[in-house]
Amino acid sequence: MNPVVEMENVVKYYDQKRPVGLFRRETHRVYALNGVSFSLEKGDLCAYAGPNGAGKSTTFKLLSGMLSPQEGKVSAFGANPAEHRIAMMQKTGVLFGNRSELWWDHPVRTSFLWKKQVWGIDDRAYAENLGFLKELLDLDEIWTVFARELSLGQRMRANLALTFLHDPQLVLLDEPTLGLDVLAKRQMIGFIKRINEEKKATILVTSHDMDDLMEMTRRVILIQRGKLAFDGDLQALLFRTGDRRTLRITRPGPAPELPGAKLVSSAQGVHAYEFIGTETPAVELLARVSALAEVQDVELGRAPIESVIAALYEKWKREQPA
Amino acid sequence: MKGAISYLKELFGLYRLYGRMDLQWFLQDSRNSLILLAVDVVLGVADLAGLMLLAVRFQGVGGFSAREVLFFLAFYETGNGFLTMLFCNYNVLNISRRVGRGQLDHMLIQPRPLAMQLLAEGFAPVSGCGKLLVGLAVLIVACVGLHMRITPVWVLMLMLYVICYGALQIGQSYLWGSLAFYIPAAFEEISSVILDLNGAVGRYPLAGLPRWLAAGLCTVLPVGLTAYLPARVLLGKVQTPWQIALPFAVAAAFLWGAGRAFRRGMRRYLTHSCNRYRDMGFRN
Repeated sequence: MNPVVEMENVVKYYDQKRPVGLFRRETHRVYALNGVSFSLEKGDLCAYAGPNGAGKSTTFKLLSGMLSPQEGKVSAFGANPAEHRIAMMQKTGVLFGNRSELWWDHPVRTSFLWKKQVWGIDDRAYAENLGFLKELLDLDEIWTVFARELSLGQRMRANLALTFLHDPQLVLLDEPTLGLDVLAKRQMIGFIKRINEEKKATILVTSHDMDDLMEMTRRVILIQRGKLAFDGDLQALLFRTGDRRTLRITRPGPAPELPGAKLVSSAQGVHAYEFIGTETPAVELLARVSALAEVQDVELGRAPIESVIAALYEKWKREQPA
Repeated sequence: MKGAISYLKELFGLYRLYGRMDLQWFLQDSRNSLILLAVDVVLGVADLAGLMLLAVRFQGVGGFSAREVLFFLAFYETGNGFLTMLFCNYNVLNISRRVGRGQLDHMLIQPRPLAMQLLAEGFAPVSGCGKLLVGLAVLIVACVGLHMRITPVWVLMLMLYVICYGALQIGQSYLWGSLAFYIPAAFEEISSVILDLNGAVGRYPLAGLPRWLAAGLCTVLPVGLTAYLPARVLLGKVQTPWQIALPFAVAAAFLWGAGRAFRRGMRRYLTHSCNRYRDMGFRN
């Protein structure tokens, strides 16, 4: 079966002019992507993760035909997206987390009617898809509200529904959970998983929140400074980096010493630690915390993706010394 | 031929869509919309008032009698209104804003040719018709006052010059606006500056200016061709064929240049993208 998306040794760089002295400027080449290769099959739900500036948005722009690479091959549905933009956009949905496709001075429903006509969605498909999306994303309550008056979570829901309205076979979601509260995040993640199962759409989703990614997908592609750092099962990645976790304790006074955990910060009675789950089980550490006096709050979490990637790189460096 | 017909069908479908959206916008908040339309009408009249008062006070100005000045200003306002109605919405006319703010991405994810989107998206037949209404009303008053003989050929010429007015403005806006592909932050407002300049200078007659300046204003910065020369032709004051054809030739040249510059800029956009994105309601 042909992959829906294929990137082969893709190189994308930008030349930046930087001032050196009063009149001179030097050109610096900044690599957004440097030899990145991966492919996605039909129905794949894959996380595309990396810290800010890692090259995630550049990948999305390449896949949606908004950019062309300097080297390598980008293909979606077997064709170059930049050369077949119109045909490609007919079957692709793109959502950038910090942008809105809603018409600002119109009620939400107008944006859907606009999309129906611009994408040429027939009446039956429109009614079917809209019913499905309205139910899944609770759109009824915001259907007649002006887009400019929506909260961030409501706007994301409406944008997400708009992205899926034309039954896209490939969906690129750039930070769909950005800025959302816990409840809205959960709803969004549930929606993405369900639509992937029911519609068999190929979905590539970015986030730099490790917990979101863990909840959403099994496969993860990690990108760091334009290079592919990891492509595979998320659990395997966590195992390789030793399942890095965080622990935050609220307790008056100085930070207590916790064997197996490293103190990262301590301010105003809030003490943050990092520990490696595979070496020190969380249960063991919690038992030590519960033995401490005056503990007001305890919070367990996963290390941010930057820290996971940094650990991965350190591990590789140790394994393959220069 | 078949391709052209389907293109036009799609284009008119989009005009219908954006026309309907404009009407909906107008009806959703009728009170404010009516105020906006009234303001447009008042501004349209104010646009004409300054020069008109001078012309009345001095029994004409720049080689025009007072009634001819009224006709000239009415033609200017009609051209301006026509352009506003077709392209004013969502910064389609002020294209450097869209380019400089990185907002072209919103158009590139639509399964329609970019040119078609640019032609249709700014259409505002209801909210953008204030100036056109003022222009046409004053044009009728001016024609009656001048006892002009209106023939089908004259009406055709009037329509062609109104289209030419739009083509000149769009050509200049897109030609200069293409600079925003290269330095987005610095040239974000260049299209508005050019259009404002055209608006400020274009409603004054060029008679009496030094030849070199008049020549410049009819070529490099063709404000004299938007309303002044067409008004003289329509008033029967100019009959030489090259002068009659000059606005069309310059408009065609500007459109051609703008097309080339914009396509070149788009090629750059597809290799460099835009290094900034400003939301601002994303199409405003």
